[in-house]
Amino acid sequence: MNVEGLLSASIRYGTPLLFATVGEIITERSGVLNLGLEGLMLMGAFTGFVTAYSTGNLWLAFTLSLVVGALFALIHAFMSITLRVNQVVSGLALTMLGSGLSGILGRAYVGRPAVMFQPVAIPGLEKIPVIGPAFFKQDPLVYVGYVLTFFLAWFIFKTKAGLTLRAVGEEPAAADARGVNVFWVRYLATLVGGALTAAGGAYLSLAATSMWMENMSAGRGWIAIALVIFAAWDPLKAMLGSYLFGFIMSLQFRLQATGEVHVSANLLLMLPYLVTLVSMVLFSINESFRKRIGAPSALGVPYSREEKT
Amino acid sequence: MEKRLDIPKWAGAVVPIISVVIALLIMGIVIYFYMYSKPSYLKRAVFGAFNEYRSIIYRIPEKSWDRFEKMLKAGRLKSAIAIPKGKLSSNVSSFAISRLEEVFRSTEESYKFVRDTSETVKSFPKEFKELQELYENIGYIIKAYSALNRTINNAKSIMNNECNDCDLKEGMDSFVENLSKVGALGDLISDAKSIDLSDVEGTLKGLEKIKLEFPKEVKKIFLEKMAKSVKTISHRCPISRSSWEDLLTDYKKNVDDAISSGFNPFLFEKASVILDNISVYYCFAPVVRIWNNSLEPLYDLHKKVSTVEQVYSQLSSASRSLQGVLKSLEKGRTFFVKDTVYSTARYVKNSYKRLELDAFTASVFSKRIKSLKSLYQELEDLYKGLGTPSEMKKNVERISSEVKQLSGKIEKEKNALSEDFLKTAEGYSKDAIDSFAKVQNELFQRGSIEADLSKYLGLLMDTYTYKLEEALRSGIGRLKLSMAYSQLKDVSKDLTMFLRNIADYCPSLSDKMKLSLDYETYVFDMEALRIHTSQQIVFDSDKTKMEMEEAFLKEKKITKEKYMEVLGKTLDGHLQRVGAILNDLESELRDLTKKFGQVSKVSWIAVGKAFKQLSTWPFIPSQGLPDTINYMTPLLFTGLGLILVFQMKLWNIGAEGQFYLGVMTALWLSLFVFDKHPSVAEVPVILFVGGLAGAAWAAIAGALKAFLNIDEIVSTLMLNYIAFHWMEYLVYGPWKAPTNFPETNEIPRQFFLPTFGTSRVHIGVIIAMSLTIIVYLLMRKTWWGFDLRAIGDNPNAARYSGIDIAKNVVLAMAVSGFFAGLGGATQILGFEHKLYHGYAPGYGYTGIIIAWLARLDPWATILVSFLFGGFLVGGDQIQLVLKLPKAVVVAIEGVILFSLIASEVLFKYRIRVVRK
Repeated sequence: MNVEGLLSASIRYGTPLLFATVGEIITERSGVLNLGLEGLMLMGAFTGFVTAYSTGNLWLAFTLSLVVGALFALIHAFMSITLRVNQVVSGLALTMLGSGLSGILGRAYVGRPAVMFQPVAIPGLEKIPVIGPAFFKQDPLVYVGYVLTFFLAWFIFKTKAGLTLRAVGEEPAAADARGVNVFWVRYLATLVGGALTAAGGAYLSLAATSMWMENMSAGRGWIAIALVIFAAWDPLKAMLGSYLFGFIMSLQFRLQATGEVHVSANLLLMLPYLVTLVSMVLFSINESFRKRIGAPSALGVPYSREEKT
Repeated sequence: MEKRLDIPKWAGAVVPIISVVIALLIMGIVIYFYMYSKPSYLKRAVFGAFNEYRSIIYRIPEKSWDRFEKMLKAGRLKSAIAIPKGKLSSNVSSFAISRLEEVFRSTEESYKFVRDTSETVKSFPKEFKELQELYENIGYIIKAYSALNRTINNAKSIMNNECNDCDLKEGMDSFVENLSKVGALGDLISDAKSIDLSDVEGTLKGLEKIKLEFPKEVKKIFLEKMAKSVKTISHRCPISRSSWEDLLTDYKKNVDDAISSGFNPFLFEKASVILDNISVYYCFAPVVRIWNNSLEPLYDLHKKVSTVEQVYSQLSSASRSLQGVLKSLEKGRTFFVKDTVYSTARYVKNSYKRLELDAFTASVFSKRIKSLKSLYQELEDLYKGLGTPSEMKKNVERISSEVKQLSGKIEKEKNALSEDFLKTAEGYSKDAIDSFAKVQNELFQRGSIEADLSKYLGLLMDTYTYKLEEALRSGIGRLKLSMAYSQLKDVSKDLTMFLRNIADYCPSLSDKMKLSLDYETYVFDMEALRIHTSQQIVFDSDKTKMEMEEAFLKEKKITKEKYMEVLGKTLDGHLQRVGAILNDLESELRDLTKKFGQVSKVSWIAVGKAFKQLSTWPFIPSQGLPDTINYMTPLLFTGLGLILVFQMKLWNIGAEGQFYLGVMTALWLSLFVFDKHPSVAEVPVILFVGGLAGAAWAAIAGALKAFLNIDEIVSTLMLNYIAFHWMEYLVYGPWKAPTNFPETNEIPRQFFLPTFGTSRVHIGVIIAMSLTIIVYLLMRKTWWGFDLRAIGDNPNAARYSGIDIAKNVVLAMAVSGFFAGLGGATQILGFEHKLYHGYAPGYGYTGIIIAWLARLDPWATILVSFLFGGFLVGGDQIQLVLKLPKAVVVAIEGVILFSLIASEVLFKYRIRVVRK
């Protein structure tokens, strides 16, 4: 089997997951649980495709899908931060709205070809055997993903703003007492997270393929939610996890395609979910590991100044 | 003074109602825009009618009708028409008859000519010519460009002393020559001419300058023009899915008939006309590039068929003319023999030339070409040996036998050709049918093309109106009666269908239905006229008949002049009628165009329809109520299970997967365990074990939560996917029934849950309802229910009061899973009876919404699941009736859900209006 090709495909399959996962990490770090990733990705994919189809400008398409993702996440932010409704239900509603709306609006665009991002080799780095072609001969959005991940890891753990973000997610009351505007931080985190998730969707329609299909995210939003936990809310581990998932996905396609290994496609498709579950169990059993991960304590809990405990 | 107004708590219930109303309004707007952007039912009908009108207009042979009219005006033709009812045959002079015949021959000729020309050229002569010109010009420009390049290279070589015999002048000459052919690049030519070729360095500079500016010039002058032409053509090509499908069936039928009847040229001709129609749509290609590949072989086939057809008719003519020679020789006439033999030879020559012309036919019919060539040689020899007419008379017997022999050979060639063709025709038709299937497939997958087309509809209508006006301005003479008759018949049919289609949406149009009946009378009129005229075309110069007729006139005391006058009036009457039909068609189409502009109104009516369907259909016993109850049952099961865990703030998203476990277990038991001696007594066992399987599946997530503190949202989500893929694996693999579909066998009939009387409603709903009571008792009347609520409200307090949280978490999850699993088992035994691939009804996810909307109240769960079941059934119904996509219903669900959870907030607080 072609190892370079396999690795390269893993990166391509993993990148949409990476965008969505780091987006959700930011959102969850602020204490907001957004289960609407699937809807956000679909809206992102749809916006990206339509813009690329009608203007031919890929970067404009990417940017617009960020904007639409943020606007969509705004609904969830308003629901869960201002109205303080149940975030699980709000997230589910967001998924429904996103997949429904993109399905209706996108009907006219199904099956049309548009432009797509082409791979750009990074001179020098692409010459490294095996790793070079896989990691450094990709489309620009993959590089955006690399940069973004390292930036966010630095941002969350090494900057004051990142500390504020984490504080809001862990102990909103304490943060509030220190003069942090909890609502503002949570709004911002949800919007940024939504935009990045939509970018993951846009990757599907702008770089992975150059077309739009109804429900083209095909459950990636849900996988991203699992990946957040797998990655223990750390962007760097999210990168590892996303590419690992990408690897499993591409391996599964390859095994099917070559027909050398007779494994049922359905069982292979089950694999990523099983791996998540098992890895969660393994990580949780290890005591020291469990201490280090830990979800933000205020995750999914709306903050209200009136109801301080 | 401060005045306070406390709104009572019940007012809070108004809020969700208001929010649902808002959601429905949003839904109305969504449906409106959807219908507005996709009025396919109208469009299809208009397209059908329009295509017919268009083909009438395009196929009218102008020249012949002008002549016909002229003769009419001259009063000569009046004499060509006899009194109807067949009492008298023609008494008209042979002169008039021959003129009439001429008219019809020229009509036929012009018709054939028009048909044989490519449809594109026919429809868009100006644009086509422009395009052709442009292509040629671009060819010249390319040539000039390469000449210039050559010159530049030469100049460079000269300067580098690499080339001594490089000729600058030659390249420049061909550059200027090619450019001047284009004729639109005067400046460039004069620039090129002014370059001094003896000064090599200066030349190079000048050349570089021209070279640099060259593409700009090309773009400016040509590309714009070209884009315009292509746009005009592509914009005016109509196509609709239904017309494609019709073409497909027609074509298939004709080819099949032609093959089974053994090379029937007429049927092939018909098929080729259909292919011709398809090639019209070729020019639509810029819009739908993807069809090109599918259309190419069709176009190719069309060419092949028409080539063979032509050759066949050439050979028929050759054979006929030799028969004529034989007849003449028999009667001892030799005058025309030489000429006829000559023309026969020409026919044969044309035949093999035609076959050689096309690479494909040249290869398939290589044998035929060879023997046709030798036949031609023989004919030439015969011609040489004929001599003068008087010499021929001496050798009649020899010539006759030679001619007979040749005629037989030609007949043989003809048959051999048809046989050869027949051999390949099967392949052709298969190819053609394949490509048709491909195109059709493409069409099915590309429903969005219709959206494209709607854009062009306005344009098409304009074009049509313009053409019709043109036709009317030129009088009524532009219609070939028999053609028009059949076209009109089709139009009338289309119109009737169209009106029927839109009558539902435009009540004001329904009285127009009457009008389509009027068209039917026109059609009858047209037919009468057609029969009437065609009867007179019989070439009849029998004198006695004329005499008889004159005698008849004398007897009836009618003067010849009077008779002519009556005839003239009859014809004029008919022609006026035709004019009236055209007028009517035009005004009707204008009307329809206007109606089409009223799509907005139609869309609103569709919205009203949608609401009506949504609010009434699911709740009427004779319509959707049984389905509503059947939808409600699994929702109630999952919803009930979820309210238990939700009240302890345990977010079980996994009802979907637990439901699947119930489904799988029920199937496994009924298909593989109890299948030997199925009995009704085993049904409760199956249901119970199905529930247990769901419970076990949920308990996994519960245990992970309780002992490893793994988030239950993620673990249940993962378990859902695992269960789904597991189920798919079983359906595709071990459990697959011996059919072609990935589905299992049906469970034994003994396991079917009983239904209420003859309805579709099974007793699952009773089970679910009785479970509601149990859930109510569990939650409100037992210590356990209290414990669960305590854990949900304050886990720490619960722990300190001695409640075992871990045990309760696992237990609550298990009970919740039991409900979902039971729901799955019930669904299999009561409703589905078997499992098929992609079974993902989403009852588990919808259950979350049900539980939440019911505010975790068991009684409310019944109501909410009933309403939601109704919503789902109504959604299905509007999908069916209005052809709305499923996505619309999903989006509406999302909106309703948002408005409902937003209204939750208002439940939390009392609204107090304070006035100062």
